[in-house]
Amino acid sequence: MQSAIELDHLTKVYRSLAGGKRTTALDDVSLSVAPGEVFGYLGSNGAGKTTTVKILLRLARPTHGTARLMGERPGGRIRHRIGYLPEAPYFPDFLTPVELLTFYARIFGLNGAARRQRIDHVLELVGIAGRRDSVLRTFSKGMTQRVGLAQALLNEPDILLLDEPTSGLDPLGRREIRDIILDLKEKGKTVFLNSHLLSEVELICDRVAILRRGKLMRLGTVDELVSRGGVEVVLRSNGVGLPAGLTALRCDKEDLEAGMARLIVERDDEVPSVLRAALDADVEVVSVNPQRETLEDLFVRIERGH
Amino acid sequence: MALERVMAVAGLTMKESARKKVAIGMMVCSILMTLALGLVARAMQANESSEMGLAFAVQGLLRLVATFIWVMAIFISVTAIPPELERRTTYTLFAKPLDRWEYVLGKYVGCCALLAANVIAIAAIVALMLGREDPTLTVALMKNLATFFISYSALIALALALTLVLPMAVAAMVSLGLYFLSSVYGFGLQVAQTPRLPHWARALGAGVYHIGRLVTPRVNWLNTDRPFYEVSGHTQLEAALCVMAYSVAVLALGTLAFSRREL
Repeated sequence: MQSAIELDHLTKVYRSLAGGKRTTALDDVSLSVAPGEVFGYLGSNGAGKTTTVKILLRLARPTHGTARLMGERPGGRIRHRIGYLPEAPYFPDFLTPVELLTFYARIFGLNGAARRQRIDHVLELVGIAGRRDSVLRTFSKGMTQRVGLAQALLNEPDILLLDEPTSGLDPLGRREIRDIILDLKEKGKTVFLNSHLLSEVELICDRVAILRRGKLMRLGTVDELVSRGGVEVVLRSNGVGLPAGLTALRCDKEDLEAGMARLIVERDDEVPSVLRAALDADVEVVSVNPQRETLEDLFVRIERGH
Repeated sequence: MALERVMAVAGLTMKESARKKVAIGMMVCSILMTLALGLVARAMQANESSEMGLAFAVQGLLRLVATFIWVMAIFISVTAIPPELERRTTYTLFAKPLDRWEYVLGKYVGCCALLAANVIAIAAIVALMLGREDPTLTVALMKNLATFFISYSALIALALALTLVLPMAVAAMVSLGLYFLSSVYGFGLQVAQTPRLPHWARALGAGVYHIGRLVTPRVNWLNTDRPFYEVSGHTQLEAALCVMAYSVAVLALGTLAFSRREL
């Protein structure tokens, strides 16, 4: 099956005007995004995320390697099938959302009733239909972000490139945008998502890639990438200490005075025997919690070079 | 399709000028200046002995209007694209099926349309005020306004093209400089042909003449050294075509450089 997005050994080196200083924004990045996938593209500032999107939009050219969208080179006709929301979008602030979308619709060649219907639909979808005739300069950052999303959805794109789509939105707005992305996924659209909000990425992305200083550090599903940290078992031993069968386990924290002990059971299949041993020794089981590293933990670990 | 996109960009450029009151400000100033021109012309006409004085007064005021439009043309063109590049509005635009040449051409058409709106307003007032009393002078003035439009459309092309490769302020200075050179390079030839001047001065004059001929839109062909009302239509047509070709050439070169530029 043809990839929706394919990066093949993509490298981008920026040179200063004098030609002396070289900055490697992307270093041999290869990955592919399947059609219908929601793909999270993560990295701290300067990691190369925006450079990748710029290459996909043909706003920049790669130094080495290639980028393909639905098998086609960036630019040209493929732009009819792409929607793009930039980070902190800026639109001509003297226009109303309807005027702005009409302008973009003309660029897509949408006319007449089809144009009006499409504009009405996207304004409704992003929740700004009530402000359709207000000038953009009166809009908050969150509202502008919604206008940005509306313009990205205007042409019913197959591939959406979203750069920090929930930036500036309140929790409710973030939830709405998340729902829109999930709805797009249901419709089979491919979403390439640049975001710093790792908890959201974890919730909605099928796969993620993590970049660090232009290099691809990790690629896979969230489950594949984050390590399982075992199962936490908290016991109350009523001051008698832990039974002999349990002392061999890693004891993360033990407060014997309070009779509390927190054990980390490394393997899931050991949990039933631990619980049995505790109950047999008349030790109270307070809680059993599967431990899992978050995407944020992983991200921080990578950023710190671990 | 390409035409639709070009017109969409042009429309947006005009809308921006209108909403930001630039177009209205320009129009009001042009109208006030033209009204002054008409009143002076009428006053001079009332005095029959000052037939030559009338022509000079009208020409002087017309130059004032022309200078005003000249400054506004530079302002509109150099501010048309750089702010959009700086604010990265162009990212969203070029992610859509809009080619860079369509964008530049759209901006050019939008700026020229603003200029045309001004020139038409001036022409309408001139026709209303002088049309009945002095049809010959009115026709001559109309011709002159048309030459203004053609020569300033070249200036817009030049300024727009320069903003695609240079910072805004530098582009404004260079386009003003080149435009000034286009008006005076003939003077360089006179200097070069004056035997009593030192060798270096004549060499400098020759340099100004040849560089001016090469890089400027030759607007002095439009405004010859004869009074505007004596310029033959045939000469002006040739000059107009030459200036339009210049506009196309500088826009094409600017767009070519812009197409290769990374945003």
